[in-house]
Amino acid sequence: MKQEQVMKGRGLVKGIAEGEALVSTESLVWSHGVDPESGKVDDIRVSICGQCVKDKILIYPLGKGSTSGATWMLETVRCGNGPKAIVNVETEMIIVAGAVLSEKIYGRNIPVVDRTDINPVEAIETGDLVRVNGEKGTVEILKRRKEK
Amino acid sequence: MKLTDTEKRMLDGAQGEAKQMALEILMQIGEALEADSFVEVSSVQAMAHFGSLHIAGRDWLEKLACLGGKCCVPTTQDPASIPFKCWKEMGYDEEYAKNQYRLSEAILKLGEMPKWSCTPYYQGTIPRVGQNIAWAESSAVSFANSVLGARTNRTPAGLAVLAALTGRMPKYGLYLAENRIAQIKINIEAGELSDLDYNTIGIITGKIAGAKIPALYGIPSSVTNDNLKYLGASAASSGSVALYHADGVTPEAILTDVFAGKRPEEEFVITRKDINDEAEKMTSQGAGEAELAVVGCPHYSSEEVIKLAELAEGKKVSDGKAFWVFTTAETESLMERMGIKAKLEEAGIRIMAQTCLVISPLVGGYKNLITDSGKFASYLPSEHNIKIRYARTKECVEAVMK
Repeated sequence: MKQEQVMKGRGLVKGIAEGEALVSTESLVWSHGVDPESGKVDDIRVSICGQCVKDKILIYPLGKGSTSGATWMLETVRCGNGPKAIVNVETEMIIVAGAVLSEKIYGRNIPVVDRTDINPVEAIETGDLVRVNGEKGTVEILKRRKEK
Repeated sequence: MKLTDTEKRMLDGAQGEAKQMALEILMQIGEALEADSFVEVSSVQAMAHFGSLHIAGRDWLEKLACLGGKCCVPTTQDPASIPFKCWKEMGYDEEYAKNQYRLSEAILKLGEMPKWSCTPYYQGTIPRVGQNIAWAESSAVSFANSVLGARTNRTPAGLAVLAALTGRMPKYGLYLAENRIAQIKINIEAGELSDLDYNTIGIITGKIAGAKIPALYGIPSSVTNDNLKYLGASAASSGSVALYHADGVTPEAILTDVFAGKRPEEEFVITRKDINDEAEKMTSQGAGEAELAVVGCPHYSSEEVIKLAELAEGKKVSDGKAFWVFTTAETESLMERMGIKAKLEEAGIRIMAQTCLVISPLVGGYKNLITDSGKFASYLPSEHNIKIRYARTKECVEAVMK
């Protein structure tokens, strides 16, 4: 494994998750931006609109948006459509709150990592196999979707 | 995190399971955000509307209530997702309404005050300069931070209730003076400003600032609280501005050097042309003749309802059209005592108390709306798949009344 494929950042929510990456180049807003019942992104301003976040390692620039985003994320988890982990360039408290509540209420651990030394939105492509370690704050590309 | 003896007792569970769980969660979040301690908060603005909380949020509040959770600081909440008095006659879904009523019961058990408003600062919750509070609702957060000089982050829904149960929030972000320093400077050079202009300036400010803290220059000291309410709400909807400073107007701008001796990262100018161009863009492309006028986002103040009644004097809402005013139960009651509510009803204007169109279904099948609010104009087209016309209150009256 090449060195640059391990990114080091800030582990905000602990836990380890491995899965397929879903990368959005635009910031994702959970409230009115993700449909909890289908797990699909339904904000037409986002490039991954129509794709399902379920069991994905969800990667996007800013964890921002309305203060009601935490309960939208929680509802998505309740419906069984939560992501496996979230990686942001910069995360707001709304995402941390959503992840912490998901674990507390539904026992679903969603590690959250941000501020990695390499921009994850540029380094990772949708379909890559990725491991997120919330304890160490690392994001690792295990396998590229397409061999380069 | 460093804990006080009181906080340690909360964690022990001696003060009940709800409080213990609440503080545990807040501690976990505090540690993630590298907060070294908690701040004590003096009031909480929470959320209990079904439109955003869904089943998960409903179950969460019911669970906390069931565990014996009780608010230990004054706690209010955002508007509900149905108009309690008239949802049935207006055709709101019964199942949806039932869920809202379950949330209503839960917050009463928790000891929240059911004001159901996005303007708690007009309903008796008035934090002082420098006071720590935990408010959700982006427009109220902006008003509290900017206009009142109180300190709050954009508290997430589902978490605000935990601040209510414990009176605590992790000390980070805007609770710290060093994070309240202005980053960019915006000069407003547009001559005299109308009520609608303040909405538009807010929209432009949000687009320029994103999540940064702007310092605005050129707002006259004669600006009203309602003008600032719209400015903040609009800036929080087009960007995520949680705090702005306005030279000679807002407390921190009067009491301190908002740049703390530093130079602004960037400087911008908003001209009359910028305001007019932006206002034009806020009307949806292809917007048809308005069938429904909606005002009161954030909730109309009593002064605004009185002004609306004056504008509507001698007019009636046209057949097939409607006019809804979103406001508080407190203002509705005052309007009743002043005889204004009867006048509005006679003119066909409906008072929608304690609810809001941003977080509730749109009934009636309307496709073309008109509003005097920048926040409504930002959210309603995508939220309800409608076209919006953005105009002054007077034009809203003229569009649906004769």
